[in-house]
Amino acid sequence: MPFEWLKSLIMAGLLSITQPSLAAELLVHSETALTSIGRDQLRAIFALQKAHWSDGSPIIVLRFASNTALHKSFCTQQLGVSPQQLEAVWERRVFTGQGRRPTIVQDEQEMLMEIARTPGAIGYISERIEHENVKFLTIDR
Amino acid sequence: MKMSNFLRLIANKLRSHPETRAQSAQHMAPRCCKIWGVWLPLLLTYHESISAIELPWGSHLNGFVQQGFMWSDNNDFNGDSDDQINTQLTDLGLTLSHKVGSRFSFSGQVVSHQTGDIDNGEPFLDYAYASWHSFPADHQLVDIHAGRIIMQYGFYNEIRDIALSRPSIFAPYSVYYGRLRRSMTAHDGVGFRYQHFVGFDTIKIEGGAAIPQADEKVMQGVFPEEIFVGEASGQEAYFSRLSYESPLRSRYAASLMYLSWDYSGDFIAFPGVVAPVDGRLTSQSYGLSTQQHVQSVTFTAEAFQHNIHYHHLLPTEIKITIDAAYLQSQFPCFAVQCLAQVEYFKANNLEFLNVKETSDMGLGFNWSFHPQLALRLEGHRVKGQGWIASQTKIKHQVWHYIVSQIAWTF
Repeated sequence: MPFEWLKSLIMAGLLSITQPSLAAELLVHSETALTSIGRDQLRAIFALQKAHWSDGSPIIVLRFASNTALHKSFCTQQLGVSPQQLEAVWERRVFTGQGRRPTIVQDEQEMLMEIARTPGAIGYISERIEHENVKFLTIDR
Repeated sequence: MKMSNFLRLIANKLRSHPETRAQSAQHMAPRCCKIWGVWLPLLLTYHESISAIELPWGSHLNGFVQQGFMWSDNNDFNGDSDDQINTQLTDLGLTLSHKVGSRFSFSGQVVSHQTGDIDNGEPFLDYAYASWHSFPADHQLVDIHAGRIIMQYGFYNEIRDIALSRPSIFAPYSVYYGRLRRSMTAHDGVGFRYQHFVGFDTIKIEGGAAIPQADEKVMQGVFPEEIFVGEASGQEAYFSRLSYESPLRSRYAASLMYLSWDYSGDFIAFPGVVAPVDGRLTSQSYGLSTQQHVQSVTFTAEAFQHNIHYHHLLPTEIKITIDAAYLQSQFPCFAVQCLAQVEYFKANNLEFLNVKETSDMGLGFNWSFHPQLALRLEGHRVKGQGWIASQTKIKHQVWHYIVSQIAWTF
């Protein structure tokens, strides 16, 4: 069929928008003096505008690759933007020499481990799991 | 010859600026080889999800590679794109950043652009500056930097043509005026940034003073070698930008930039008719920018005025005023981000520029099919030739072009 490739592309597109969206739970290192966080503060942190916690310690942002379902869910549900919009903000900072992209972790287990061993770290996973040196934050609407 | 015809002749030469001048197809074969020479190592060294290369002593290296493909039904644009696909759009860049403690940092970028025979891909230092920052209070940041500094202007001048940093493949040529683009990006000087945090929003005041570069590439756009033979020297460059940003929601900016070069040499009116000239070129641009994120939709609009003044460089004093504006929206559709764009350009001195009002309507999409790879495709309908070259093949005032780009960043 001459337009088989087009059909496949459309199907892939439809699948990508109909895939179930994951919950994205926000977690930080347990030493972080927060139990909840506002949406604007969260945006400022992931846009790399806010680089320090209130005690002056540096914020370490961790994330998943931009084409993962969890990252897409986190961007749309918690930040209210698309992954591409967030990516554009990071690119601007990286290529003007004013910042670095957040570090990518490969899976949720690695995210938990990295948050647990990095004071000041913040990230997200799909569900709340008890883990040493990690605590979950609620997001104020 | 009437003065108006004479000016039109000069204008045609002046408008053959480096960003958009036509090229011949004779370079196509080597280009293709170069393209694969660029991409093959990348494919061989492909590694998933690199966000930067960590170097010794805490330095970070980032980079990008972009390859464009272009076709137009009339009027060559960025190469011989009339009736064939032009592959003469290749960009490569490396960005190094290094922090020394919490107050000092160094950043630099080397870039190569291949744009037909306009830009041969020779690498050049885009910017390189040392920066010192201080936090006088919890909600304040002061940054002073020196070296080859970035001229902050609008939203996209601070970044060279890096695919993922903006919705469209090209920076809108009306506002980021093609002929002056290279002379507006970075110069040697001193700059400052003051940031005031209001809640989680930021007010930013930036400014700087520099000596404009006057190398061949920079000057080609404003002193074409066909009619100017001599030497230019950079005199003054100033910029200032006031901006307000709510992270991932909205940003607003007001920008001003002033550049001047002195020029001494010969003006070639016609073959064999040469007149010595000694004068100055000044360029002043100012305008407003806004960007809004509404859910997953981004709206961007910028409106600028450019004032270009040739003092004692042509038989008559020439002042050109250009009004330029564009509106872009980027929105999700299926698995891609779609783009819709309207751009407008008008010069007051129609006789000199020999252009009418120009508008450009574009539609496209951006498909990020891999964390570090993106594919873009845009189609444009252009009425007029405001920001493209005057060239022998220009026959049509209404024309179309399609451009695609694949980009890899780390």
